[in-house]
Amino acid sequence: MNDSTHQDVLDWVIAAQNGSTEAFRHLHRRFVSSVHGVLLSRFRPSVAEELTQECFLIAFRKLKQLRDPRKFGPWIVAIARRVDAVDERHHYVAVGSEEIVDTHATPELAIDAMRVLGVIQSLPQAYRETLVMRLVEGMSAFEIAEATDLTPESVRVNLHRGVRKLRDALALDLEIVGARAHE
Amino acid sequence: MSEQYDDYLCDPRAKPHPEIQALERLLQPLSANALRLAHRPLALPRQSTRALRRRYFQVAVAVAATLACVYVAHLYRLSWPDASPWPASIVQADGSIRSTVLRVGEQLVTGPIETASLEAARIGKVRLAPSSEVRLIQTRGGRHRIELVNGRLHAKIWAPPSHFGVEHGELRFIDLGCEFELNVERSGSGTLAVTSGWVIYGREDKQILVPEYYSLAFDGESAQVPVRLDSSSEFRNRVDALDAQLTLNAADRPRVSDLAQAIAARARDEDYFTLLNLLVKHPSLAAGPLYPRLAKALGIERIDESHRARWASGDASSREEWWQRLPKQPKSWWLNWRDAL
Repeated sequence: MNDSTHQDVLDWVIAAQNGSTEAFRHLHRRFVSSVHGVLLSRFRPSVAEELTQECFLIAFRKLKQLRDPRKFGPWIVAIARRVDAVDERHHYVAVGSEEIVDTHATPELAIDAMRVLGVIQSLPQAYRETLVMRLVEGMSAFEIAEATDLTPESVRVNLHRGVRKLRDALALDLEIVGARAHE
Repeated sequence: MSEQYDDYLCDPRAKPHPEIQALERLLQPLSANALRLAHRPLALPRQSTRALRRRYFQVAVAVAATLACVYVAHLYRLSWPDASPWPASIVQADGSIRSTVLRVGEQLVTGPIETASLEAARIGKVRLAPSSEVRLIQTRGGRHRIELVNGRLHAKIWAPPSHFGVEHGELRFIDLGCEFELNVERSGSGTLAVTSGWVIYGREDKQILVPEYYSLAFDGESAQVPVRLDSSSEFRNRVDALDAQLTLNAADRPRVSDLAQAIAARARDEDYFTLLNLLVKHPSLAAGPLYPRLAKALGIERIDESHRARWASGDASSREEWWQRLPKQPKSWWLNWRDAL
């Protein structure tokens, strides 16, 4: 997902703590998926999009408070977990939501996507975050573990249980969804 | 669950599983990548410049506060109430320590197997050897004087020049911020050995500066030329003999020439202060081998004969020119900060 090493991240955090905006932009590129994933597990896509930027601005302001620069990933994910939308209506995608995400090929697919996302958001936090990071953001279990400070094994368990709960909640054969996605 | 399912669920780089891949195809248009969030400009506040300025300000305030504290501590260190007694402790024959104070006008005497330690106001310490006797003459901020009536003392002082001084009869030993050992007998003879900084020896209107690593022998009437603490006794004897010869009204010229030759031959570069003192005290020596030897010690490559002639005639400016070339000048007392420890 990203070629940056732990050392790169460490260097960027230290430089950003010393006032380098360029270093912080590197951190933004490196961690935007995990932050967006956490937010998308709680908010409507358009709100998650806005709040992702907001989270990074908060992180930039509070960067001095980060004592261990190696923990930037879990730290900013924790900020994303605490951030709140102004309007309650921005929370969660209601099943059957008509919010259309214009990156989908067809409106039907967009509606299906919002339906699945709505179901994922109804799951407990541990499952919905890992599912969004994996299925939406395309992160591996190892990358999710690094971002959330969990062990890869815990992430693996959460993914399995999460997909099972998703399947039960959707109460449909996922292959049907897959077939529509192929259309 | 198949192995393929498990592998792909945990790692999108593994062989795809159709069920998971279908969910991905459906959901990944919502991802940060698809929305190109990483490429959106991040409107960072102009905090970096402001934060930087604030940090500079904080650093400046911290530095200023530290300097102010150091300055206040320094002023406190140099201040001392008029005639306030000095704390003293005496290590007695049986090893016990007796605390006392030394007031202005009072004497402190150590027995044959006793030593004493005096707090020289707040600027340093004075240690008194066995069978020694000191008297506190005066103490106030900026001026502290003791008399070493007899015996030996070791002083470690860190203060501006002339804050601390030791007297013995007509003799004065003025500290220029240093560490030294002084030994005097009731007859007025003794030695001064400086291990850090500078000390001025004074008697009537005569003064001799003694730098660190040099010692000065004196009696009630006069002082000899300062020599390095690590000088050989042979070198010392020759310096004393040359000085004595030239002090006589009718010097033995061949003897003077031989001694000057021997001193120049044996002098090391670090003996520059001995050479300088001999040449200052007896300018006629500039015509001999001591002048080029001192020039070499001071790093002067070419002998300027006009300068040499001026020196020999007693011209003060010629001496001043070479004085300025000394490796260490006596005014930088604060560089000997270790003496404050």
